[in-house]
Order: sequence, then structure tokens, then C-alpha cells
Amino acid sequence: MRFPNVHVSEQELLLAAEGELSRRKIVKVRAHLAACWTCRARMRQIEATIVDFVETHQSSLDPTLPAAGGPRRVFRARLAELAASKPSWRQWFALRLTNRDFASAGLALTTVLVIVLLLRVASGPGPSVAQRANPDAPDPRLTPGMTQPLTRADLCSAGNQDSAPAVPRAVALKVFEAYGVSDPRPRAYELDYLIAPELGGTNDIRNLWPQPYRTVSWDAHAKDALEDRLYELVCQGDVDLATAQRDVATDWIAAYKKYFHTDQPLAMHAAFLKDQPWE
Amino acid sequence: MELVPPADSSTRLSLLTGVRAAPSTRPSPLEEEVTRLYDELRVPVLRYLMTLGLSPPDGDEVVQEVFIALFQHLRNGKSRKNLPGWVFRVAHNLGLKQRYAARGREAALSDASTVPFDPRPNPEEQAVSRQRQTRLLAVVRALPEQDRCCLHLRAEGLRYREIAKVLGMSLGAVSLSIHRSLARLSRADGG
Repeated sequence: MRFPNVHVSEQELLLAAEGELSRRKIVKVRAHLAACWTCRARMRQIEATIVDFVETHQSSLDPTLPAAGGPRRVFRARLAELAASKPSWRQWFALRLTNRDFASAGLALTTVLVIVLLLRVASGPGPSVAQRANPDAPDPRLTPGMTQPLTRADLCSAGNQDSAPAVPRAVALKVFEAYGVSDPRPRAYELDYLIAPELGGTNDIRNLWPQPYRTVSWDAHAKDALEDRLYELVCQGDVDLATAQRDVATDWIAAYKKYFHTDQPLAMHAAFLKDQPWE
Repeated sequence: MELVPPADSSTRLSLLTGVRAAPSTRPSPLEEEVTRLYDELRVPVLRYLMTLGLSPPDGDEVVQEVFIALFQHLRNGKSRKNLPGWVFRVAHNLGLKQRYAARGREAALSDASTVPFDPRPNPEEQAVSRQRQTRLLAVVRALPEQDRCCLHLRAEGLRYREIAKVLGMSLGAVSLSIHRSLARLSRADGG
């Protein structure tokens, strides 16, 4: 018998009930719930509150809803009138262009953007906005980010959700040396993949950099949370893989702000841990 | 004997609604699609608009405007991604506009706070249930507006990410808001 001594937080229980946790975390929460009666009772309490609220919400409003028939007929008549009106040139154009046409145009635009980005990296850009704001940000000349030719389907298939593979010690020491860290303290850094392996990043030295914990607000915990979020967005089809890779490689702090809609690291990510510290 | 010939169905509709009926052609696939979405989402959207303080007739008008806008949106070839989320976002914005326009009129929310007759036979059970619902509604009314919106959108089936888009909040803020509101409801419910 196992005695779990750290309970799942109330918010994590709610997120688990809501199906809003990442797949990795849900496995952990389920394992805890299987072992812990206290948390199961708390989870049941959350579910009961949701049921009570929904019943109250619907039973207080549904009896006052107008019947559907009349409004529906009016709506259909308005729609028919609108549909019968002559489409504008823009509508005419939109109705005749297929999704494939739009996809081709999007692909062409993405290709141009990637080429521009590669040219910028090759010509040795100065420090990025992230680096000026945070000296611990990756140096784009040393760590431009490297990817392997994988598709979203390859990356999001089951069994691809393990932690990032450990970096060999010799490679790690080379990375520290390149960044001028002569005697790295164990567990003070995460040897981070700039583009995480679950987003197609490789273990090439040009994709690795030493990211400190807790020396700056934009630390490895926040970066881990961003990687987790991007993986979810890519696998759900909300963000395409190339965009996720480009955003994280160009300026991961800007990417964090963009994908979490915030200017500061969120408090709930202060202890977020996905990858292991280097030791 | 009938002296006046009966109006055909489209004329009757025009007289009733003041809307000119279109020629009776077969609806286009786009009309069919938008009507399907209207049938599917009218009640959840209307309920949400009522929680914003709109009366049921005002809410129904806004629902119509939302789906007419959806038709235009799709006809213009704009994004088809997550149309229910789009519908709620437009409904939220139009609903707030309508509420401000109707400011001064009695808010429907106070009507919504009344608990309807409970058909269960046991009077004691009825009384307990109504008391609990009244208590929960009081807690909901006391929530900050943003928390209330999050809770109501969630009750209508939106996921956190969609709620964040509708209300222009971060995902974390939505999560915290719903957590906070449920904790208050749980306390009020004796949890």
C-alpha cells in the first residue's frame, strides 16, 4: 500500500475534472487519485458543485426561454433574403477560391518567412530582445535551434510524451563552455533544448543551452511550461508545427507572452517541472 | 364561403414578421449550415445572453444578429475555425452593446434569480431544493462580472481556451476564475 503524502492541489483537481491538464500531468493526477481517498472525496465534491450549479443555472433560465418556432422562421426568412442578395466582389471571390488555394498561398508565405529567418540567423544578428532583457537567454549565434524533419502526426502520436532524453555529459560540458560557464553547479541549470524534442528539436549542440533555475524570473520553469503548452497547441491543431518551432527559437520569452497572454511568468508556473535539472 | 383568397405561407410570414420573404428557392448549402448551427446553439447562446442581463426577447434578437453575422462571415470566406467559439464571442460583444443600449430597463438577471416551481411531489424535498438553488443564485449574482461570465460560458459548454478568447483573458486567468467561483459555490452549498 502507498501513502501519498503530497495531495493534489484544488486547482489541479478541477483542471483534471475539466480535462484541461496536459496528458503528462493527468497521468500523475490519476495515479494519485487511485491511491488517495482524500483527494477522491475532494474531486467528488468539485463534481457535485458543478452538477448543482448546472442544475440551478438551467432550471432558473430554461422556463423563461421563448419558444423556438417563431424566431426560427424569422431567422430563416432573413437568411433567405440575404442569400438572395447579390454577393459583393469579395464574397464572389471567396466563394470560388477553395481551401486548397488558401493553403497554397499560406505555404508560400511560410516558406518566404523561413528563408528570411534563416538569412537573418546566417548573417549573425545582434542580441535579441529577449537577450537584452535577460542575459541568460540563449545566444542565437550559439543556439539557433535545430530540428529534424518530423510531422505533427509523428510528434503527437501516442508514446511520444516522455521527458526529453538526457544530454551526454561530454556534450553538456561543451555547451557550458561555449556559454562561458566554467564550473556549473549541479541542479542549478537545466541543459535545455531550445526547440524541445517533442516539438521536433534535435540533440545537436546548436539546439542546447544552459538555462538557470530561479536566477531570473524567466527561468527554466517558465520555459518548460511554454514547451508543454506549445506541444498541446500543436497536437490540437491550434498552432502549426513550423510556427511553434520558429516562435520558440526566435524569442522564447516573447513566445511565452504570446501563448499565455501575459507579460510576466504566471505564478502557477513557478514550480513547473518537465525536464530534469542538470547534475 | 370565403371571399378573400388565403395568403400563401410566405405572404403570411411577411405579414407576421415584416420581413420580405425570399423567392421559394432551395436553400444554399451555406444557409443550411448556418441554420444547423442556429438550431444547435440558439438555446446555449440565448441562455448566456440572459445571464448578461438581456430580456428573453432582446436575447433572441441578438441571437438572430449573431447568426446573420455568421452567414456574412462565412460568405466572405473568413475562417471556419471553431465556429461555436466565434458565435459566443460575437454574442458576448453584441449582448454587452444591447445591454448598454437598454440600460435603465429592468435587468433580466433579477428575473432569472427566481427559482421556478419544482415538480417533485415531496414538499419538504422541494423546499430544500429551492432554498439551495436560491442560495447558489445569490452567490452567482455576487460574483464579479468576469467570474460570472466565465462560469456561465463554461456551463454552456465552452472550454477554457474558448472562454479566454471570448472574454479576452489569459488561459490561467480563466482557470483561476472558475476555480474561485466553484470554491464559493461549494462553500454556499455546505461543501
